[in-house]
Amino acid sequence: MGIAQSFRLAFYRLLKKKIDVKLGIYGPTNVGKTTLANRLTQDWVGEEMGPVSEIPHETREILKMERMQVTNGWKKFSVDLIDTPGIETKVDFREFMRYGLSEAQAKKRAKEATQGVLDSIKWLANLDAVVVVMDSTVDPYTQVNITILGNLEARRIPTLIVANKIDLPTSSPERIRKAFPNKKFVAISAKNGQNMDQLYESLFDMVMMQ
Amino acid sequence: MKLKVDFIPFSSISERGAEEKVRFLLERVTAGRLVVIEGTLDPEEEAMLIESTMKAITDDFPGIELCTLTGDEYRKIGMIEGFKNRLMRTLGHRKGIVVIGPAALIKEIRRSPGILSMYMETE
Repeated sequence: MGIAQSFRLAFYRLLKKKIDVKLGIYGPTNVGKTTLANRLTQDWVGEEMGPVSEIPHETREILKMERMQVTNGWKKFSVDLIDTPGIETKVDFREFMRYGLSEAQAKKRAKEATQGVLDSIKWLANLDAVVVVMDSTVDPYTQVNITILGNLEARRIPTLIVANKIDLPTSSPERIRKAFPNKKFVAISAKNGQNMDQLYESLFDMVMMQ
Repeated sequence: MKLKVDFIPFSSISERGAEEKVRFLLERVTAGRLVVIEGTLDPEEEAMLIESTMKAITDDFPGIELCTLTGDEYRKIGMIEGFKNRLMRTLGHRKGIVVIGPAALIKEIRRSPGILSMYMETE
């Protein structure tokens, strides 16, 4: 923790100021955003936020869990966690049919998914801090990741990149670090909880920067 | 299958507002054209382009492939250089290129430092 951050934290403690944070989880589809959200809310309040699936766009509505009291050592915050639908530049109903959905089901899912993308982008204006989740088994230098990070930077929203799925053998979190060398970064497995202590430390430090 | 490519100098779109710029680009892409722009879009314009694309999606138009290349990929930008880049953007200088194409035609665009590779599939 830097000197400025330590002073700010000491100041808040002195005033007993309550720190409320709207924390968003962003990223493309199928990177493990809801798996991470479930891991966080399980750890914090013992509940899950939403279902996960291998079919893209499983989360098609903004999911919220509000006013969770979160502590890490002597640091304490009230967190509203916002899990957002994956952002993509294309939504093709035919892709869903490859997972066994009927044409009608696939078209309905595609329509809901496009609305989900719109809602995710709209919500960027309402957040105090954001975790951008990336799949560490695939090339991270995609336009969706660049656009999300560019918009967060333009809005001066503190951002933490989470390289997820490090439990998989093809994982290469270092590729994400090299692709975005100016951003703070943590490598985790939301599925099995690996490195969650590092994520919490980085999250709390980020919240102090807001 | 024939493919029409529109090369657009930055001066052709720089005077347009964000909404008009996005509409101008998306009209071409929904008509099945590949658009190559000199310069870059703002992150907000990119987000607006994605929003407009989502609203334009139909069974026959599943969306777009979009790629921006600035030459700063994979580079750590220091504070002074970052400030300089922001200032240059504010003044209207936007180095780089943007490629936008219909997702039904452009299957993938990949970046490696300084190179943009496009994979097309035609029937």
